[in-house]
Amino acid sequence: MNTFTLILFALIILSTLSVILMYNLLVVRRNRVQYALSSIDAMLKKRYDLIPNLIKTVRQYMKYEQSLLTELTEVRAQAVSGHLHEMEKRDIESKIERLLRNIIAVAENYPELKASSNFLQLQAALNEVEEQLSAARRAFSAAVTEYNNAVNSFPANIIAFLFNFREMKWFEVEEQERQIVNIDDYFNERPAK
Amino acid sequence: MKTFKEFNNFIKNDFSLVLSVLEEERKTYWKYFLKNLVLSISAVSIIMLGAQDFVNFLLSITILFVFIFFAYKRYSVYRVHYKEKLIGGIIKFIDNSLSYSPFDYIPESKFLNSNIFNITPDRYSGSDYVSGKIGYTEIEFSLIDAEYKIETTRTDNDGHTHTEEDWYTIFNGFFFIADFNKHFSSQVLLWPDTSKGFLKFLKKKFSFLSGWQVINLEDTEFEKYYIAYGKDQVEARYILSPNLIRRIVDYRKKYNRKIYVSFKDSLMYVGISGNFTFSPPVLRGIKDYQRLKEIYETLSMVISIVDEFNLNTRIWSKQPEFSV
Repeated sequence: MNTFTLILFALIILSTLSVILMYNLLVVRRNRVQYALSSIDAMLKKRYDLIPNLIKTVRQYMKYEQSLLTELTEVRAQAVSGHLHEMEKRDIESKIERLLRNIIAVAENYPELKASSNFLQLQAALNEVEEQLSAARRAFSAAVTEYNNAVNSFPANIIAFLFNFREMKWFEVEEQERQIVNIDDYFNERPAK
Repeated sequence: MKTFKEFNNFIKNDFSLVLSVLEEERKTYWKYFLKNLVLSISAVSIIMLGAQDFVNFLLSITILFVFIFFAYKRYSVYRVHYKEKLIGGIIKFIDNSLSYSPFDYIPESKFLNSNIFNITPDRYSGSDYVSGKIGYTEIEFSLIDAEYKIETTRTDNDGHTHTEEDWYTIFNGFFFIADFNKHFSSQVLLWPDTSKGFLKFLKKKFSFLSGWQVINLEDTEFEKYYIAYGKDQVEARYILSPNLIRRIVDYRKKYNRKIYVSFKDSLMYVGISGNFTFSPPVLRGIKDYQRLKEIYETLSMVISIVDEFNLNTRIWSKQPEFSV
């Protein structure tokens, strides 16, 4: 075997190894994105599961915010029904988030409700789910960043193109999620005493 | 946390009697030490002026040993009083619910359970154990000195083998454990690392060799001081909320020390490196305000972790009254 053949052989082995390494790197990063995404779904499910209990607990105390509770029940029903497009799903999620925040804010006006151990437990559980959801979203964003960096950087982008690894989108915070809860909107629903 | 003004008032008023009693004990000990030192040296000198034989040499050595033995015994009594009354008193001033055991320390099993240090110590000791509950948060901490040894065997020209031991520090400082305010099942480790650029990049790249995943957090200032490792990307971020990350960075900047942090079994472990000591003074007076202030600041630095890291915020399911 002459030197040229040896060099050629070494180059082929090196190239094959590089392709395997880059492919595996992309797979690992894509799996991380999927794991983060499935965590978000799991947390959302946990949140949906808490809603019926929350409504049941607050309904007996909140006399003037029935429309808020009805809206939440309807939106939750839509969410768990499935068959939703990504955009619809996102829209429903942000609606639920907004309604939950409003219910918790309005609960401040009901001392008996605030003192109820059942409500306190639900509030703590909801806070936990929200924190876990936020963590899962941050993990998703970080995973997407790492994945997109790999997909777009040379020479991994060649492997990405060959094996159909496409760039992914980040979460965009909905405009209404950014807004501060306006409790007054709900107070206006209450008749004057 | 109490203010310096409150501490000054405490030293001047409530604590002045304790300080006076301890100052008297220190003076008595120092007089005892000097008197017996002079007596021992005089006795040894007289003996050695006589016949310089083996019996006299043995007698001199015995006198010196007896002196050291009794001086140390007396010092130990003084040390116990100093620690119980002065250190214990300052701890009670900071938080009355805390209890103090001068000669106990965090057991080695808990130290290893933190997963901060992956070397099993060959020598493990400690002191100044504090435990109790601050608000809703159970805490315990103590001074820890953990070392490992490397044995080197050498053969000399005559063919004799000699084994030499070299001791290296794993950790020296305060080791703090607190009940964390969230439930979690995975692990997170914040490893102090101030390296930059390519070196840090390499460290992160090869972290998989240790079985940890690097958690790239959003806080760039945090990334200057630490590398965050975890077993689960999502749960690591649940533990390390942006608020906690900021608080850790602020605490690190405030005290400017090497601070290790880990989270495991719903507990938070903090290691603060440094040569801290609570030995009683012999030559310097007990009422030395600068020294008292240093003790207060050192203890406050550790006890304040609960407030600094906001551990009493129990808005999640891990609450003192109930658990979901």
